[in-house]
Amino acid sequence: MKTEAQQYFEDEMHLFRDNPVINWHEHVWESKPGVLNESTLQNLLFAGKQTHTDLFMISCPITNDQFCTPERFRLANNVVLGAVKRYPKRLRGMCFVNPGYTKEALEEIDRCRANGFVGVKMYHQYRMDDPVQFPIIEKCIKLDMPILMHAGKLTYQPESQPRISHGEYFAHVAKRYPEANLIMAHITGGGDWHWQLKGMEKCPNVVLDISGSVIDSPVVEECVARIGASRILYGTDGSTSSGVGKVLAANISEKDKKTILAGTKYRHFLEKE
Amino acid sequence: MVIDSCTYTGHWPFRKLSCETLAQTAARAEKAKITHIVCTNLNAIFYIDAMEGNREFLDELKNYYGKVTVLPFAVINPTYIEWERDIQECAELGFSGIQLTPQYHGYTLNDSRAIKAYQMAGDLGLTVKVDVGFENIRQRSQMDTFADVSGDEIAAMLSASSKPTTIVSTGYPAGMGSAIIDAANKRDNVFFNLIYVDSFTGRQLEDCIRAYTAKRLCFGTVSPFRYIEPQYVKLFCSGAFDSDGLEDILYKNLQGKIKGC
Repeated sequence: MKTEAQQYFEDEMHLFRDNPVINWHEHVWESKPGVLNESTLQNLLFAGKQTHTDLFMISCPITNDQFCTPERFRLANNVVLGAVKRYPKRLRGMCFVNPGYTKEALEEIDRCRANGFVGVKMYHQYRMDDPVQFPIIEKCIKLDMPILMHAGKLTYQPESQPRISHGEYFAHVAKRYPEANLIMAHITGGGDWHWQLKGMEKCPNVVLDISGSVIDSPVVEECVARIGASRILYGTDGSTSSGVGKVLAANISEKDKKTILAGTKYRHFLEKE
Repeated sequence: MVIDSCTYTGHWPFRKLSCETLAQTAARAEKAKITHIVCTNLNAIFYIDAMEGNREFLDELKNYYGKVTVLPFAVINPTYIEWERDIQECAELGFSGIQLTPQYHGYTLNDSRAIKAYQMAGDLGLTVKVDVGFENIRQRSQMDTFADVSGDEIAAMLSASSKPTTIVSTGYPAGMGSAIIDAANKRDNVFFNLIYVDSFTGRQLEDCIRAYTAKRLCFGTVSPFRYIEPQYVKLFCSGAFDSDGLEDILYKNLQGKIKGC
C-alpha cells in the first residue's frame, strides 16, 4: 500500500521514466592507481537504474595531486575505459588530463578519443584561463570535444582549492575561444552559485551542469531564467537524490525539464563514433 | 501523513528565498503531500528581541487557513533579558516547541543558560529543535556565520535532561561524533532529520541507520531554503528502507511527540 507521498513521487518520476536522461557529470574511482574500485561503479549503476538514467558520462580525475603525472592520468583513464567497455550502453568516458604536461596531455586526448571518449575532464591542477590550458582547449576545438571543468566560487575555506575556476576565469576563456564547448561543472556543488551564474550569462559557449549536493530553492529556476534550459546539462556528481530531486522540484516548464535531462544542446557529441 | 520537521516562514537576510510567508511555505508542502510542518519564523532569529518575531508568527498563523497543519516553533534567545519569561509565554501562547539558534545569538548549547532553557522546555512540554546550520557552508554569504553547531554541544544539552522531545536538524547524523550518538541512544525522544544526508553512492543513509536505528530518524526539508523532492528521492529510490521504515521516518516516529500532531 503506497502512501500519498509515495504516489505523488511516483507520478512526478514519470519525467525520468518516460524521457531520455543523460547524466553529464559522474565518476568511477580507483581503489589504487589503475585499479577500479568496483563498488563505486556498482553504486553508480544502481543509482542509474533506480532513477531511470540512460547514460552516464564518467571520469576518474586525480583530485589530490596538484602535480599529477602523465603516467597517473593514463592509469585513471584506463579505469574509465575498462568500465565503459563493460557497460557500453550505460557509460561513456571523459578523458582526464593534467594540462601541465602539454605533450602527454594532448597525446592522451588522442588516445582516449580513439577509444570513444566523448570529452575532456579537468580538475583544479590549473585555473581555466591559465595559458597552460590553451593547447588543450585548441585541441578540443579541433576534435569537437567538450571540456568539463571543475568549478566553483568558494566562500568557505577558499584556500583549500586555490586554483579552482570560477566565473571570471571561464569568461576569459569563453571570450578568447568562442568556438570552444565548455561545461562549468556543478553550479550546485561548488560554492556561490549566484556568482557563477551571473558570470556565465554573457558566455553563450559555456553550459552549466547542475550536479552536486546543493538543492537551494530556486537555483534551477534562476539558471533557466538567466541562461535558458538549453545551456543546462543534467548531472549528479555523486549526489543522486539531490540531482534528481532538484529537477523534479523546479518550478519550470516540463519542456525545459526535458531539455535539461536530454542535454539537447550537447546531444550531438554522443552521436559520433 | 507526512511530518516535515523543519520549515520556515519569514525573511532570510543573505539571499532571496522562494517564498517568505507561511501560506506559501504550507502550499509548497501541500503540493508534496506533506500534512504537518514544524515551522519557525526566520525574522525571530534576527530581531533583537526574538519574541517580536514569535508574536508576529502567531499573527500570521491566525490568518492562515490552509490544509497543512502548522506546528509553530518559537525562537528563544537565552542570552536576552527575561528569556525565561519568554519560554513560559510561548508555552501559554500555544507554540509546539522552541528553536535554539546559538550560531546567531552568540552562545553555545553547553552554556548554562542554554541548558536551563532546554530543561524548562522539557518541563513545559515543549519540543526543542536545533538546526546545525542553515545554508550549505560552501556558499554562505560573507555576512553570515560560518560556525555550525557541533555534535558535542548538542550531546551536552541532551545530557542535561531527558524530558524534551528533541529534533536535531540539518546535520549529518552519523558524522557528528560519538558523544551525540551515545547521548541520543540513551533516550527514545531524540530525532534526526536526513536533510543533508545523501544516498546511493555514499551509503550515508545506511550509516545513519546503523548509528541510531530508523526509529530515531525523521523527515525534513528546510523548505523554503531547499527543494522538497530530493528528500523523497533518497527515501523512495535508494532501497534503504522497507515500507515500515518509511512510515516511521515520514511520520510515525514523531507522531504524538510534538504538541499538535
